[in-house]
Amino acid sequence: MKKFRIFVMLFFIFYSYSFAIAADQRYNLSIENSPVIGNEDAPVTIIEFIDYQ
Amino acid sequence: MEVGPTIDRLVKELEGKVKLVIKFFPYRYRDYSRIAAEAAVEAWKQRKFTEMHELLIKNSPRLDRESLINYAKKLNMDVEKFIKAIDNQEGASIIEKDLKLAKELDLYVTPAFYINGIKVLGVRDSEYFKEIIFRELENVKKK
Repeated sequence: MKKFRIFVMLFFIFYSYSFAIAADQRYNLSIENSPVIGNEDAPVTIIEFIDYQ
Repeated sequence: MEVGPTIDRLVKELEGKVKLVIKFFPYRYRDYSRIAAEAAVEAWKQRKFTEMHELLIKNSPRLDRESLINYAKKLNMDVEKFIKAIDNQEGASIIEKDLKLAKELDLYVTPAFYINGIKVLGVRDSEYFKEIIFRELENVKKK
């Protein structure tokens, strides 16, 4: 029973840790050869994957 | 179709601070997804991308071939060249490149956004986007 409790605790620690990593993850995507709307030198870049239909 | 206008309005509102980069992710099983993407690529080549992008979002799902040709006319594009481009799928290399990227990223819904690399999936209101954008602007200031 004690082992089980430790297991559950460890599980939750790793579980929340993986969320913390996911929240910080940044993807580095190339914007070459894609149309741009707005100021090319803007400090914030939003890449949108769009389906017009 | 709510998200397109939201994000486009934000880009206008925060003029100069935010740029929007479009990747084409036409669903395979929808009638006009692909031809609409072709129309957007050709509009880009003719330097009318922003205008066509707005028209496509505004008029979706009216994106059949005849409607697209009408939008090109409305924007004073070279219509003959436009028709040739959408009929011959001249934007295929760009669209396929984006589709390949979407696949690599394991994307299966639109819209999908990457704000300075931070992934945001699905429909969100403008407050949600603003929070991330303002945080990013703060980070830039600190540097």
